Amino acid sequence: MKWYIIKRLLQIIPVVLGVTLIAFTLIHIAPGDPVQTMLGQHATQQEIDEIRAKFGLDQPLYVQYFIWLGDLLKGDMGRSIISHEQVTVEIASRFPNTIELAIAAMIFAILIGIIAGIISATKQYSVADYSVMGIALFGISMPVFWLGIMLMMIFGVFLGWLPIGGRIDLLIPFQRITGFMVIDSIITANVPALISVLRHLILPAIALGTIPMAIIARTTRSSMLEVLRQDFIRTERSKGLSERKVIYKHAIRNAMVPVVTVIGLNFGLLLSGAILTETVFSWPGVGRLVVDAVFDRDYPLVIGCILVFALVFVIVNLITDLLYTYIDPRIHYD
Amino acid sequence: MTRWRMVRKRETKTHELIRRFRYNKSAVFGLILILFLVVLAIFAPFIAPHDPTPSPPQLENSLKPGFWSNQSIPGYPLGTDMMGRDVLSRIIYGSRISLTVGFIAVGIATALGILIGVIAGYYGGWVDNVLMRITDILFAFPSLLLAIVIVAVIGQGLDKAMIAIGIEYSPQMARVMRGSVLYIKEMEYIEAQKAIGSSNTRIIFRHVLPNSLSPVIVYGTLMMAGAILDAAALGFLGLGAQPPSPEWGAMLSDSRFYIVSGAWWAATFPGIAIVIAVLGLNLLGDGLRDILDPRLKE
Repeated sequence: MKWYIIKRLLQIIPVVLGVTLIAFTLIHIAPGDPVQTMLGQHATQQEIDEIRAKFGLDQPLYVQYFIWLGDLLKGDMGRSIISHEQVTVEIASRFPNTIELAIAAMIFAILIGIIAGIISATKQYSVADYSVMGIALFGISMPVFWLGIMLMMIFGVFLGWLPIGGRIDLLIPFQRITGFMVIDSIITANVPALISVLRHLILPAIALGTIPMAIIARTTRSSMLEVLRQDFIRTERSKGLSERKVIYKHAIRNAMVPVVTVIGLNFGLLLSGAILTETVFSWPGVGRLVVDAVFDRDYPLVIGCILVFALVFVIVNLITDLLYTYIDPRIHYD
Repeated sequence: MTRWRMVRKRETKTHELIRRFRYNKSAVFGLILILFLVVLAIFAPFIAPHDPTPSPPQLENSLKPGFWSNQSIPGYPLGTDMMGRDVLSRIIYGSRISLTVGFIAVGIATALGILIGVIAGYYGGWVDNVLMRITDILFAFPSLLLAIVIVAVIGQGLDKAMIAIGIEYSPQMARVMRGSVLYIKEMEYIEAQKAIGSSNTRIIFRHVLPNSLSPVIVYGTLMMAGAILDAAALGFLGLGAQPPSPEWGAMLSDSRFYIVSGAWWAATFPGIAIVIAVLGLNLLGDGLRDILDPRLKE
C-alpha cells in the first residue's frame, strides 16, 4: 500500500509537467503580443526590446519555458498584465471561495444523491423510485447555468427568500483570516456574518451540486440493486435480520465502492461547473477569474488559473484512487 | 446459395437490432425528441413565425410576455426578448446551431480519437505509451476548462468553439477506441488475417474499424449531449457564439439580467430547449448502449 501511494505520487509528476508544458506552449502560440498589449499602441521599438529583454522574452522558447518553470517552483507565476498584481496573490485571494462552493455543492450532492439512491433501490418500481430516477435524468441533462438562473429567479427574485449573488451582505462587518468565509465567521464567532454567508451559499451550491447529485443517485441505485441481489444478503435475511439492518449494516457499505469512484470522477465536472455557477451568482472565485482573464488576454493569469484547476483535479483523482483501496480491501495494488 | 444465406443472416441481424430498439422505450423517446429538433432545424424558415434577428430591432416590442399573459402580442407565443425579437423563432433557429455544433464537434473528436486510439491500440508498445500519456495530460484538465483554454488561444466565436469542444472530447474517444481495438486485436479472425499475410492497413480498415463501430456510435451520441451543453456554456460565458446569433446559451446570457424586472420567459425557454436536446441524446445514447453492445452495460 505504501509503495502504491508513492508510485501514484510519482506518476503525477509527468502529468503535471505535461500540463505546464501544454499551458505554456498554447499561450505562446496565441496571437497577440503581450508586450505590445502592456505598452499600448504607441510604444517605440526600443521600449519593446527593453521590456522583452527584461522579461527574458528575447530568449528561445525552451529557455523561456525552463526559466518560467523555475519561477513556478518558487511559487512565482508572474504578474497579471491587467492588474499588475502577482498571479499567486490574485488566485490565493479567490481560491478559498471556489473551494468553499465546491465543497458545499459536493456535500449537497452526496447527501441527497445517496439518500435518494437508497430509497429508489429499496423501493424499486415504486412512485418514489420513478420520481427519483426522473429527477436524476433531468438533473444530468440540465445546463448548470440555466439551473442557477432558474433557482435565482424563483428563490431570489420571485420569493425573495435568498440573495441572488455575491458572498456576503456588504453591510455586515467581516474579518478575513483564512479566506474561507464560513470558517472565518465561525472562528470570529460572528453569527450575523455566518448566517449571511450560508444564505449566499445555498443557491450556488444547489445549482452546482445537482448534476453530481443526479449521477450519485443513479450510481447508488444501480449499485444497491446489485448488492441486494447477492447471496450474502439472502443469508442475512434468512438469519432473520430485520430489513433495516440488512440494508443499513450490510448492503450500503458494500454498495459504496462504485459511488466513491463516481464522486471522485465528478469532481472535474464540479470544477467546470464552478466556472459557470460563479458567473451566474457573481461569485468571486477562480472560475470567474479565468473567464475574465481569457477576455482580457491576460495570459499569465490564464496559465495560473489553469494550473490551479489541473492540480486540484489531479490531487482529487489521486485521493479517489487511494480511498477506493481503503473502502474495498479486496483491491490490492503492487 | 451461400451468398444468399449470408445476406439473409445480415438482414435478420438488422431486424433484431431494430426490434430491440423498439422495445427500449427510453431510446425511442430520445430518438423522437432528437428527430423533433432535427425537423425544427431543417424547416426552421417555414416553422418559425418571425425573423430570429430582425433589423432594425423592434424595440417597441421589448420584453413582452407570451400566451400566459393578457399583455402578450398575438403571434409571439413565448414572448419577446429585450430587443423585441420573438423567443420562439430564435429557439427554433437555435436548434440549427446546437445540432450543427454537436455534430461537427463530435465529428472532430471522433476523427482525432479514432486516429489516436487505433494507432495506440493496434501498434502498442512505446507508441501506445506516449499517446496514452498525452491523453492522461489532457484528462488533467476539467472538461470545459480545456475548451476554454483552447478558445483563449485560437479566439472566440462559434466555429472556434466547435474546434475547442472537438479537441476536448478527443481523448475520451481515443480511450474508447483503444480499448475496443485491444479487444478485437486478440480475436482469432485477426490472427487469421495476419497469418494469410494481410497488411496492417488492410486489417485496420477492413476488420478493426468496422468491428469497433458500436462503441463509437454509443459514445458519440453521449458525447454529442456533452458537446451541446459545452457549446451552450461557452455561448453563455461569451466565448462561443456571439450575439445576435440565436444560440441557446448566448440567448440565456443576454436575457438573464432582465429576470430581476420580472421578464422570466426570455431566459427560461432557451434553457428548456437545451434540456430537450441533451435529454434526448442521453436517452438515445443509453438505449443504444443497451442494444448495440451488452459488454458496455454498466
